[in-house]
Amino acid sequence: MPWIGMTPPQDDEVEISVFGPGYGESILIHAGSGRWIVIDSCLADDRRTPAPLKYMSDIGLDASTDVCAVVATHWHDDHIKGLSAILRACVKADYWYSAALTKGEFLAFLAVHDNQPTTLDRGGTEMLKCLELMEEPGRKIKRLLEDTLVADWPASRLAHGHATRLLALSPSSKQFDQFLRMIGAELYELPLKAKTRLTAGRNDLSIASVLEVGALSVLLGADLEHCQDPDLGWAAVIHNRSGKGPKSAAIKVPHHGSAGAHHDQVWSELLAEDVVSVVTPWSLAGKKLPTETDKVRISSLSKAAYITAEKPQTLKKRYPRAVTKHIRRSRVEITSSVYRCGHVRIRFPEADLGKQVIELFNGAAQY
Amino acid sequence: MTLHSLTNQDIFDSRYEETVYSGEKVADLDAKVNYDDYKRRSREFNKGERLKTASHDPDSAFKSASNSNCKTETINELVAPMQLRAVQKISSRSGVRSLTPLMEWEGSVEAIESDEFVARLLNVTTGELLPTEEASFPLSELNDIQRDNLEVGAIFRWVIGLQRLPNGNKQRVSELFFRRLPAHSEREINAAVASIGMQLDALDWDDAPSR
Repeated sequence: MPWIGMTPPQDDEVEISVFGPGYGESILIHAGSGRWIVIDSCLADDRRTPAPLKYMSDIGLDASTDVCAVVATHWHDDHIKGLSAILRACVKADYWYSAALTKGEFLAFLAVHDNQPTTLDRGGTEMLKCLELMEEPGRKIKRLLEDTLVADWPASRLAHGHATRLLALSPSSKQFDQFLRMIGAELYELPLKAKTRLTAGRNDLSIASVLEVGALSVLLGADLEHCQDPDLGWAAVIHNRSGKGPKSAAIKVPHHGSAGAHHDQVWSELLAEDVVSVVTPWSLAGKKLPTETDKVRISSLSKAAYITAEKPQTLKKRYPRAVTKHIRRSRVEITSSVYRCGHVRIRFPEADLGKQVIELFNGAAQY
Repeated sequence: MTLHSLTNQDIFDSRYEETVYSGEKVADLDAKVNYDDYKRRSREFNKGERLKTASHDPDSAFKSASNSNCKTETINELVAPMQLRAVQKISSRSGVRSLTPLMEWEGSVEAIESDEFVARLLNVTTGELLPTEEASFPLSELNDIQRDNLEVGAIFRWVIGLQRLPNGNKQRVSELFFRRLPAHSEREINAAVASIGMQLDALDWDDAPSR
């Protein structure tokens, strides 16, 4: 069922929708005049449909014609679940992903590592599926590094009358080189145990980006983290971007609001004082992001702070009596909970004036 | 003496249980095992098993694990010189140890604490699409082999089921089966790199901005 209040944006409205179901995130951008960009993928409440596709369907849009670009910020399964379904549906869309991940050595690493007996989802498997889809005639695949223009429209092409672009801010060339060296070494020293995670599963190749619409700017932090090395992570972005372009009026907070992704200068040099922040939660094995400390820090730096899903719903599972008895006897503690896939929608009806309309759906909240 | 009652045979038991946890019945008639010889052969078995499952079908190794003929043959190969008299499929009336699952989960280890590990679980029996369950397992319940395989990211199956013992008795059990990654030779890895290289060459690369 379509969510109440779901209407498509006007042609001259810019929209940023952030979806987050407690484990995963996706961003959908309307750049104006029916041009849409998807960044990453997570699943809607039905646990099958990618959240951006469901939303577009709910507001009566056709993803097969309206989405012009799909961006994979990195290959972790909390950012890529359902991405192949998006690429399959959005037949006109280009597929952008990190240049480092287009290297044969990395993909061979994924292919070899993913040759494992498991039904659990892994980001690497989804990444390989996406690559296969791009073999179809007419599909275009594109490499991303810092300063790559993902999308670029002159003012005359869009109803709001502002030049619009989406610019990648990372990974830096040093990150790129480091990653390839690491993969080269690890490929021939694969672990002998079947694992859901690779040692190469770091966030330093994550693609942060900035959307610029005339004087309006929105910073999309992906999972990029802070490193001490000035040529890596947020330090490299600040070095490269400080003083260039307008300060951002809104931010998708990097890496689920974790302290490891926080850099003071991002807030002081790249973001406006009255910035609106949106964070997607992450919950696994009893660990949660953002922590209460993270929330306090982020909200103190923001005019308003939002989270896509605040509290998980506990599921009451019924097992056969014999199973329940044995679980108890084995001293195994088992719990079950899910988040709803919340949605924070920010619309900028008059892009150059910075007016914002913020709406919360399906459990999203202000904190 | 049955295989199940042999002392110091954890590795073998682990392999053996993999053949029966899906409910298949494999005979384990009387056996006498030289443990040192067994350990050497077990290593060879590991290696052979991994190489057998090295293909680009992610499910191939799992399918292989449930292929009774392949497993029976491999176990025969392993135990024959150790004077195991016979390992073959027989009727369910005698000399059989089997496990009929009541509930199965596939799990991944997410955290290891001092006295327990925490895992995310996908309920295989109910056909869940995504993991919705989390469980903490006491470390004290793990045997040495399970402890060796325990690390963050490790994949395992958790089966609660009804075990039929060779003497015909039945008991409810809870078993963890950690998965191992197939080992790959340098040649296989080079072949994967070459294959991916050809795939990349065939794609339409274009770095112009989307419009």
